[in-house]
Amino acid sequence: MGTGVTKREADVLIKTLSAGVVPRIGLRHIAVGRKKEIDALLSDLESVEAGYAAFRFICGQYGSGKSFLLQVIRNNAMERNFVVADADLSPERRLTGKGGYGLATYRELMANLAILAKPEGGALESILQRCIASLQQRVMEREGFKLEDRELMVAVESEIKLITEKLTELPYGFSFASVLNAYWMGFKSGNSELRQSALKWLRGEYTSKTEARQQLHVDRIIEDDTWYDFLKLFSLFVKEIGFKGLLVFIDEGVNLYKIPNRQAREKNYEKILTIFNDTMQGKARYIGFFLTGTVKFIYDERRGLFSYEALQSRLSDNQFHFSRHSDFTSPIIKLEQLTPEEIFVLLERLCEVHEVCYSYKTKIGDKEIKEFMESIVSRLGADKLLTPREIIRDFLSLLNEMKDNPEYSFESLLHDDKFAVKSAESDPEDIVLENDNQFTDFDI
Amino acid sequence: MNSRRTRKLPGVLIFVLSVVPGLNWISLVYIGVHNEEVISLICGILYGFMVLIDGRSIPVVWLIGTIQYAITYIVLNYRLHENQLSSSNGPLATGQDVDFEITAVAEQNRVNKPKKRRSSTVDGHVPPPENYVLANFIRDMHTYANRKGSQVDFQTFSTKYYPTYRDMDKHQQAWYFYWRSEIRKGNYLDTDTSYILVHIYELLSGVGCEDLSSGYQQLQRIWSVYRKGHPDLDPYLHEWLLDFALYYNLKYELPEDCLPLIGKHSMQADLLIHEHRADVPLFLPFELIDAICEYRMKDSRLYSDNRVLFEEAISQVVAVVDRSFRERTGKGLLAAYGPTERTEDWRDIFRGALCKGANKRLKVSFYAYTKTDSLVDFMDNLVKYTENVLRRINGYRGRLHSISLDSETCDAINSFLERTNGYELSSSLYLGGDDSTIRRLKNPYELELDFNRISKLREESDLVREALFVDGAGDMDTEGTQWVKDISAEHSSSDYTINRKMLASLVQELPQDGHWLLRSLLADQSGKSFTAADEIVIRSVNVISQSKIGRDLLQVRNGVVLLVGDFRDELNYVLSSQLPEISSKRIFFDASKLGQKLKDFVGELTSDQSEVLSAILNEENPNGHIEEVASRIGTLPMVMIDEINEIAAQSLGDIIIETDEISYQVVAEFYEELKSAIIQ
Repeated sequence: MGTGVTKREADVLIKTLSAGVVPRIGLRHIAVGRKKEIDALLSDLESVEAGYAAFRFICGQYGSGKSFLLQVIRNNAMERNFVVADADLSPERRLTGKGGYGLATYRELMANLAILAKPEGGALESILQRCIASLQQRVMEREGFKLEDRELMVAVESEIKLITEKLTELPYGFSFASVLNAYWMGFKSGNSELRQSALKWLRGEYTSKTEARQQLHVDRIIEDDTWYDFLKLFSLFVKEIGFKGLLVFIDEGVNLYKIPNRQAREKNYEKILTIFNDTMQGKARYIGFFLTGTVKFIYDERRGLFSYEALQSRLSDNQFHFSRHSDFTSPIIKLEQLTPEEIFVLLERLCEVHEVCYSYKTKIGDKEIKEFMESIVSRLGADKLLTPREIIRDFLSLLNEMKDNPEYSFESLLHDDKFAVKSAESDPEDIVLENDNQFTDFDI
Repeated sequence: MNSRRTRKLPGVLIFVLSVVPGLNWISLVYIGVHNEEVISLICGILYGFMVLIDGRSIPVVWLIGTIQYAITYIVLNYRLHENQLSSSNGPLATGQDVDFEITAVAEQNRVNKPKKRRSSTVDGHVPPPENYVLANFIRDMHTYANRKGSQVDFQTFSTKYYPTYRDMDKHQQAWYFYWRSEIRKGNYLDTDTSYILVHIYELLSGVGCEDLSSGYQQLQRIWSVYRKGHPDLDPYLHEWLLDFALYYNLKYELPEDCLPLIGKHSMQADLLIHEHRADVPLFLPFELIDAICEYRMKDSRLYSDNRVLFEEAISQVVAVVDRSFRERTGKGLLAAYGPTERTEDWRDIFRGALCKGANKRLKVSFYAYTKTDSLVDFMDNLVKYTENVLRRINGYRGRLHSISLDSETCDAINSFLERTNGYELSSSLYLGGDDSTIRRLKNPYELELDFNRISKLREESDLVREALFVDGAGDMDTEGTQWVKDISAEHSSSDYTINRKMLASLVQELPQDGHWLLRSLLADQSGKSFTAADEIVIRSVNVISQSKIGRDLLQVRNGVVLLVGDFRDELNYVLSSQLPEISSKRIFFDASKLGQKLKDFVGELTSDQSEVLSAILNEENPNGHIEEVASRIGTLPMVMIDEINEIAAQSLGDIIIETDEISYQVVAEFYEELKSAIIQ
């Protein structure tokens, strides 16, 4: 069976993987194993498309491929015509917190808003323009207006009202209608200031209601504790304008676990609970949340999600059924580290991609892959800390060397200084663990 | 947040009022209210009553009031300066995760000196600054905090101790503010050390930086940039960076190239080692290992001859031993041999600097790894043993003696060095004994792979690949919406039977001349004589027909243009009944010059989209053209670009037009090929 990977995909895969970055396209060609996990996540996409909501935690140790899986689903969702938004949590970006930590996450999500035509983010204006173009075309076709007709503006404005009437029952409905209208007016009249003000409002960049009122005639702004409400509305909006829904991908959940202050941490967990409940109880529609975190982040009963009783009972009971697959009915998808066999198949796939990329036939077979794997497990700390990212990077480097130097044997290149023993990266989670265990009297 | 009113000196108006007879009591009331000076307030009110009740008291009140105002002003001025100096009485909490605690703060001259002198390189050679010098400098620093300078010529400037603004003449000041403005923009111009020190004082006081963390980074940056040309900075900044971190509760970090400055058994080393407490396995830089050891590794000839190898080997051996130790005891080396309790030590901070916190002493609580005997002894033995092994491998004569190390640790070191060098060395050899046995080892990391499982995984991965394949990616959802027209391009599958609907779609897309040619061929079954002008028309019709029905519609045989296939009836029907208007589609790309993928892609584009793509490729500023096309069909430019990108994402696997909202760019990979295929 052929690989099905195209030259273009192969190029992108090789270039990005060599740099240690998760590729944007062609991920399905190197997705090894994880069949049940991917099936479960795809079924979530179907649920969202059908008008429900979804919430999944993707949990695994450092290097287990959480971010990779998230990226696979994100890319696939864009191809399925979803609007996607993603953000990495950090000490400055949480779900909520004094000082605008939650709003910072929302801003990041809106900055990274992506659709198939804008896969790298920044699609907010595209989405608005697509909506307006559709309305404009519709009005022109129905009423026979031309672009220069003044009546067109009024007609489009009333069309916008018509759409947003459906959304006015939700928080921010009226404000959103006004902002959308302001964007249209700004666009049509060439008033870029007004247009930018509308975008600024949608990106959550207004800090003062007075300023928003003066510039856009709206009474509300998106704030730290209400951004999630706006996302719920936005998901309905994108559905209305022809997308299948909104998917929110939040990576590095461990940053919530690392919040030193217990109250601040629990506030964030409370926010997760709110979102979780909304998705389960049908209060949110056409929206999916995917949050990744380490095992400790979820299961640690001292400071993880399980330290928050309401979440523990919901997550551990496994009673919420929103997957068609009986094995993956839990909101938590646990990723195990890749087994040696899975790594073997992954490397095999990389050989195929490499061949397509450079249009040649590699000499590497099963024996050589096995030998390479043996050389990497002999590295310092490899038993626990060597991640697929490092393995892939080194393997591609070896493949490149072999392609460029056909006169050298595989053995000689493998034992070249370039592939000599070196330390694996340290697990960032261990820092927290060691902090707790060994130096309990450490404080600030 | 402090709710107390900020004290401030009265302005010129109040000063004038303070010498006006009959009204000067108001200035006392003012100074009393604004600075919470109860006596001035009461006296002011009292004098006011006296003046209002009996006008004859005005001269007396004027005299007393003026004197009292002057005294109050002077006292207040003095207090304000004192406050500025001690505005940060204790370390400021920045919320950072730090490895030390400050348990006390004191003035340097009020606390007994510690018994042990810290390992400082900024010692008592620099006399402490006079209080007034410090006060003046801090006041000037705030005054000049935001001053910008325009370009001037460089002026030399050098002082023995404590350079200040007041030591500079106006030309030097002009240069300083210009140089500092450039530094703040990231442009590090060369200058004299004294100028750099003044700027460093500012940063040490938190002036000229967004926050303390960025101030710390700026200090590191300045050091890194200027240390080569100004080695005098090294001893100062080496200490001040630590002082800054301690005083403001910041995480202590040191640029990697400055690690060699760390002294043996220093607080700097202890704090940096503590940063590695969570490493699994422990991976200490060579300089930190050296800081722990009593044994002077750097004096060894092996070290001076093989510095890089030696440093790397020592670091890695410590990691290997730590790992082996964890497997055996469940604890790492630092946990096993390191300190169990914090040590407290006094530290004079910002010695030789003019800044906030200068002349203060901090009592710092930290883990003193480098002064813990058990760890020092263990590391000494470890590095000596490793050196013996390295000596043997590199053919050096002589061995270090008096090494006491358990056999498991020796085995771990030997096993590691065997893997890195291809030899196993007997653990008994290098404890100062004989060294003769070397033998090859077989691979200790042989993997057992389950090939049945691998075969199953291959099948599963193929299934995943199929599950993730999206046919017709990007199609807009039209089911759930009543009011939005699907504006995305229609896509044809290559695998269908050709029907009337498809032919209608084909005909609709044809250009004017293509349409005309088709009509003439339908009118005359024997075909049309081929002319040179037909060539482009035939090619363009076939590009469209390839994308719509998966095959060519026209061909030239024996100088005659013919219709391919038996579609005459369908085409006649389509042309006569279904199309009220003939498309005015123009062809923008010569498909024969394109590869298959781009040919498919271009075939998917509508005429308007092709026009936009061609404009982007062909015109220097295509914005106007794109807007014109978008307006013509009642859509918006960005929507058109998105549509083209969506089609590209499906047929090419990625977007084709990159945009930064102002300009558009066809991705480099396809640029040349598309540009060469444009029909002018």
